[in-house]
Amino acid sequence: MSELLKVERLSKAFGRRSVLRDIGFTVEPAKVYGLLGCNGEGKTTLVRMLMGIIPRDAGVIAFKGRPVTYGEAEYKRAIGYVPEDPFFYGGMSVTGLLAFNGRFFPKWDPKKAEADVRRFGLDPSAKVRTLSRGQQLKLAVVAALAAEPELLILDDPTSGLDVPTRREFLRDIIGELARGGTAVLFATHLVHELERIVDHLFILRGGRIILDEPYDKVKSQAKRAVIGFTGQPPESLDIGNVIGRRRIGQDWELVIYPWSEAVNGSLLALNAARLEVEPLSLEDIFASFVQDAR
Amino acid sequence: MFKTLLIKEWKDKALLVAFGLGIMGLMLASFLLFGNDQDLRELIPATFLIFFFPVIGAMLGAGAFESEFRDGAWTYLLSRPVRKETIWSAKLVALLLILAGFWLVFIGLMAVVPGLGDVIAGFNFPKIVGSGLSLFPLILLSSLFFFSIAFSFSILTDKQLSLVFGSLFLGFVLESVLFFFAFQAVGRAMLTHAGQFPTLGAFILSLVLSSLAFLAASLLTFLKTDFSQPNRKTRALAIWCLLFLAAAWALSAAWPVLRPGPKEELDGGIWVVGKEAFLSTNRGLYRYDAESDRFKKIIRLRSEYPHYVTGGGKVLYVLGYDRPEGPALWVANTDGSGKRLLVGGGGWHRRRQRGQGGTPVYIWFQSILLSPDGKTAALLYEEASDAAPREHKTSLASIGTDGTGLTKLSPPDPRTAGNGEEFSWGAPLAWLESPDGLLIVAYPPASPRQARPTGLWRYDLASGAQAKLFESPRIAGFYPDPTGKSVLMVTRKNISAGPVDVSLLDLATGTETPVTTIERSETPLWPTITSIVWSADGDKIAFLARQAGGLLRPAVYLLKERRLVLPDDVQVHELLLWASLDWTADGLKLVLADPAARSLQIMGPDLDWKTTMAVPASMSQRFRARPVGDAVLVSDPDNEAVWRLDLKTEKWKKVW
Repeated sequence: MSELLKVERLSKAFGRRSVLRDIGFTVEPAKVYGLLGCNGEGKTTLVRMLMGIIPRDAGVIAFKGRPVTYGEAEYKRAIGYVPEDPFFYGGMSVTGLLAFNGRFFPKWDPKKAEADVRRFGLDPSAKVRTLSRGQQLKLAVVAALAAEPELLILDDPTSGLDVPTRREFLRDIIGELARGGTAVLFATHLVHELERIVDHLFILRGGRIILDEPYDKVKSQAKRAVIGFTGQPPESLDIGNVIGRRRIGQDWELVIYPWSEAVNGSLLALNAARLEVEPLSLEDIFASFVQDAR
Repeated sequence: MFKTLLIKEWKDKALLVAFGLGIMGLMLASFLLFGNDQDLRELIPATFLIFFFPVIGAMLGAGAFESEFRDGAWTYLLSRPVRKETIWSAKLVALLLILAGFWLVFIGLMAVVPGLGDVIAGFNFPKIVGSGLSLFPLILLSSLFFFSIAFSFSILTDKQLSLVFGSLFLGFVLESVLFFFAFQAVGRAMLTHAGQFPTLGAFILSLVLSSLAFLAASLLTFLKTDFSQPNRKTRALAIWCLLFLAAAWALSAAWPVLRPGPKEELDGGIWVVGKEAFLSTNRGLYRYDAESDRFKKIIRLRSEYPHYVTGGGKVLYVLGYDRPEGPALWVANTDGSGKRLLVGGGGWHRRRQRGQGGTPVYIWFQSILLSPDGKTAALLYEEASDAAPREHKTSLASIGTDGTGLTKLSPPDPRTAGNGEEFSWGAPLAWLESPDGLLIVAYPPASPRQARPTGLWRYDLASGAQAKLFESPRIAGFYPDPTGKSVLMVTRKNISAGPVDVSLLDLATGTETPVTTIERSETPLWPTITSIVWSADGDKIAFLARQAGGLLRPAVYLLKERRLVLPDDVQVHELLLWASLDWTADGLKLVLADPAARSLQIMGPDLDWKTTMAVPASMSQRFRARPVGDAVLVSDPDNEAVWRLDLKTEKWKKVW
């Protein structure tokens, strides 16, 4: 089955404030999905709806082709979840919490949990309430991975991790998981971390998904064009597929997506004194897409 | 999953369990140390019961979601692959089991600690409720109620003190309101329909349903709302609580009406007047219809046996001893038509408090009488006194069966009825041959240890004239003949020993004629003479008399011949309370029900012949026989059955 998770027309409002509208996307196995959005765009709300933590107002969530209702629990056995603030029961020890957690997951691997506890340098006997936020995040990652999930949902967790752990997590662990067939949905606003691992991008803006494309395609088709003029530059430029623009002195800087021969021809037809076209980083692409919203 | 969550909750509450057990231990130690002091012996367990169980219930409920709030573990818990219903029910069951554990430990202490159980058993529900229900189960129920309130509110906040005290406050307020409504407004309205003291049940039901309402509101709020939206959660819980509580209270109020009434039960015997037979149950008063050979309901009741007499085509009955409005005297035609309230039903509980002088507030059901023409009723009642509101005067009165002319009869003997003395009263005994002539028995005051003098008076209702017919310095029982000419008297010189004298008093002349003397039964509870019945023409009296050895035997006294017939070959064995004797309407046959022999013995008027009829095999031993027309109706209350024996064909038929 190619579709692991499918979301259609998902909507959520808090009171009169609409947070998410008609969200739809698909997640396939063995891929890393980046769910990008600025703060307050609804990433956590979307993830919580996917995890059945909060009810949705409308829409369908299907896991492995089967629609799941709010309150349903079985599908979560195949999902690992690392929340933004992974608070556990403070009175439990690290070992106790993992043992407690393991009883919920049929594929729970206690040896893997034990190994990951050592790998992340956690004290197995420490009470959870004595752990720092970073250590609790590590514990959440351990708890999520030992369940051997088919889908791992990460809700902006890496900001609390120290640099070595974050690098290891992003480079090794996520990579291992994807190679092992696990799909990863990584919700974050710190996009530079995703660049090396992401396969597919979703960008949330204004309560909607405005970009749903493979990262390679985005990477290859998103370009920055710097157009320099010798005299007074034109007030506006009639170029297609421009998602971001700014004027710097006598230069225009355009962000174009998707890049095409027609766009290239339009740029050449300007007969500018200088035309520089260069690829964009993921951060630049994201910034360009969400610029207006900020 | 459920078990995992259950164990987690128990671990979370280990400290609270230890705290509770510690408090219980302190109570126990105090009880053992200071139990010799009579006041402390009751005060310690009472204080413990009143405070501990409600508080521990509230504390347990308040802590239901404490760890999720305190540790911020909502996201973690709700993202686990476990249904929300399972999370909620695991918490509920875990905490309820702890609460039940406290109950069981305390019940165990009551069983093993000497004296503790007795002290707790002595704490009863207030008597005003009219029930002997122990307070202990109600306190346990209260702890469940407080637990439910705290449990439902615990999904809103983790502020434990606020939750505990808020739940206790709300719980006490709600309990008070429910109690007030159950015993005042609802109870008063429902008592009429539901019989004796259903309000206690309504109160308990309201507590149980209110607890369930809080829990249901909690469940729905937990399932349907977003934990991250506290205001919405609070609003949802408030709405659900109000809805469910409204439903719970409506159901509690409706319960006394909706609940099934008690099973219909025969009230024992059958009452025969002339050719008509009546029986009563807790559902109604029935008249035997010979044509259809079945009993037809003439008065519909619910859960209360009527006390009734019949005569002159009317039935006079008293209802309402179990109702706040108090007993009332009713009359109806024997076909059930023309039902009319004559007097009473004014609320004797209230009258007793308010003291509205002169109003009948209590009717002595043993002392109602209907004139042979069915036009006048006589009754003995209590009335409130303006001078002493809480003291009642006992008065005799007559009233027309059309509801008019309630007339208080002046006391026939200044020493007797109406003087408010505890050991004095008078009662209408029989109607004499004249429609206005009332025979009254009067018992002047006497100390309980004295032999009570007894007077018989004739009272003329038309003129108010009264005359003493007889006075005995001894205890006497009077059995007037149906024609009102004479009275059979059973007198005894000593209340607890000595022979019983049976004599006949001629009401016209005042002449007393000895009938027989019977030695007192050796067993105080066994009557020396019983089942005294006159034949309809007033010529013969039959009774069962005790013999040496305890056996009863029938006797017939023939008035014209002044002769007592005592057959040697008819004896009734031990089941004396259920042996019965009665004449057929024509006075030619005497029917003896003999439970020991499981038979009816039909005898001639001089006991010169007898026929023995075995009763149906299914009949229990507690049967009573009443001849009516050419048949004998035999009631068998143990089997809720009435059989008819046709005296001509000697065949049995079940008619009830």
